[in-house]
Amino acid sequence: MKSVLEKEILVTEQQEKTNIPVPFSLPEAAKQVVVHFSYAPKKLEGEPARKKAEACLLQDVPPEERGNYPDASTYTPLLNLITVSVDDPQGYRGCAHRQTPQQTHILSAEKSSPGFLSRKCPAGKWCVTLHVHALVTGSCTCKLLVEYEEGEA
Amino acid sequence: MRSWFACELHCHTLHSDGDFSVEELMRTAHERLLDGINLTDHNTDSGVMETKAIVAPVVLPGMEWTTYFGHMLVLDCKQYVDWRDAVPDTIDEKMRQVHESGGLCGVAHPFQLGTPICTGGHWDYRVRDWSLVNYIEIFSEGCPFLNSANRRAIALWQSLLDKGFHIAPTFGRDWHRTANNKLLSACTYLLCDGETLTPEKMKQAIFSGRTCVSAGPLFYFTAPSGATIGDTLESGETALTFYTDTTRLEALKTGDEMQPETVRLLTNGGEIALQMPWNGGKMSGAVKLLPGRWYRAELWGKINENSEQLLAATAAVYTK
Repeated sequence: MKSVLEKEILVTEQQEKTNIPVPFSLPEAAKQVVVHFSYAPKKLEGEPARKKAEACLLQDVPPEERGNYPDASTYTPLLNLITVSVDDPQGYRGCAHRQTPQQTHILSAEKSSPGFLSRKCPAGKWCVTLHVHALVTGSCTCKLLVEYEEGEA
Repeated sequence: MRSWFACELHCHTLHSDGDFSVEELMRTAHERLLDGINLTDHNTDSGVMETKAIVAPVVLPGMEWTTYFGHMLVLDCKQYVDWRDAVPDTIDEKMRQVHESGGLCGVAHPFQLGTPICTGGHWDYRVRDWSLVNYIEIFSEGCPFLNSANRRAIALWQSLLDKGFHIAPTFGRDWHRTANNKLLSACTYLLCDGETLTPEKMKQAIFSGRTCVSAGPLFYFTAPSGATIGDTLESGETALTFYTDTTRLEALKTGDEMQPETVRLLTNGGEIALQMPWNGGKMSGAVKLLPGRWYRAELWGKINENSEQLLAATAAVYTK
């Protein structure tokens, strides 16, 4: 395996609900491209989480309906959610929308990991995009490592 | 002729955050006597290829755009349309791109809680032209009881009917796994041409507003002309025939007891145009249909020990 991208990215709560593209070039066609992605921390617990949950309830539930919802603490702990999508030179390759904060995705012509299309991995411009769906811990450190195995599929 | 088909229009698999493999989802759907499903994984359609080798149920491909400002079900685009640049003020343009690509747009669970509890789950998009929306989930998740979010979704849908938009109502289990599923019989029935279902017919039924949202029984009505859900009728005095079909519900043997009690026909502003005690699978009611209106029917009754439950709601018919 050859490494093609290794990056640590600090994501802050100001970046919640934004996309963070991380482009890279694949210098040659690959049998497979492997994306390792992780982030920490994952959880916010206790009173800070309850306060954020309460703010969500206040925003999304009209006053006359609030009695139909449980106490905000029911919704805690709250979780950071950062997902990744991938573009290859052909376009959108897919996305891994799931909660686990440690992920490995294999992209290949024969069988890509769930969420991603199986097709060739040509040389050229690629991009991993981080999607900051929820950032409840103030900040969060993301680690991204992209490797590839050389050779045509 | 036309036939009604039981469908689940909101499904997830391991390709996003569901627990089902594609094969498990389809097998479970088949066991629940679902004729069709929409595969709507979050932000990917990579599971669709795996459905090709399995005969039943019929699969209409799709994707749930799981964005920061709302979740939108996008069905059967011929080319990929990018979900990642959808922001509150550009949603109309994104929906136009979906339609230009041959797809349909549906609002998923508009009143689910949003970020950070259910990320992006609350519909915060500022839709300017609701004619771009083909359908709205008026019942979400496994249990179509009239909880707060579902009541508000019905109110939203009805307010849009009042403004003249022809939007289909749907049920979406938002099906990720079998654990904690309630009311296993709940589904959206789709009215399609012929006696066999195809993905294209599923799409056409949603596009044409030929849907019945149900906790179990199929429920619909017809005019003497044969016109039915999704059609435009002549105004004037008429007799509508209301049908309740529990065949699938009984075959499923879920253990849930459902007893229809009341049939209501609603029109603009939620006004009740007709209300009758339920008295069987086929019943008739006289009504004066006013011009330029919508009419939709509801079936109310008991679900297990709970009274005053909405068992089924049809999409609308419209008068000239």
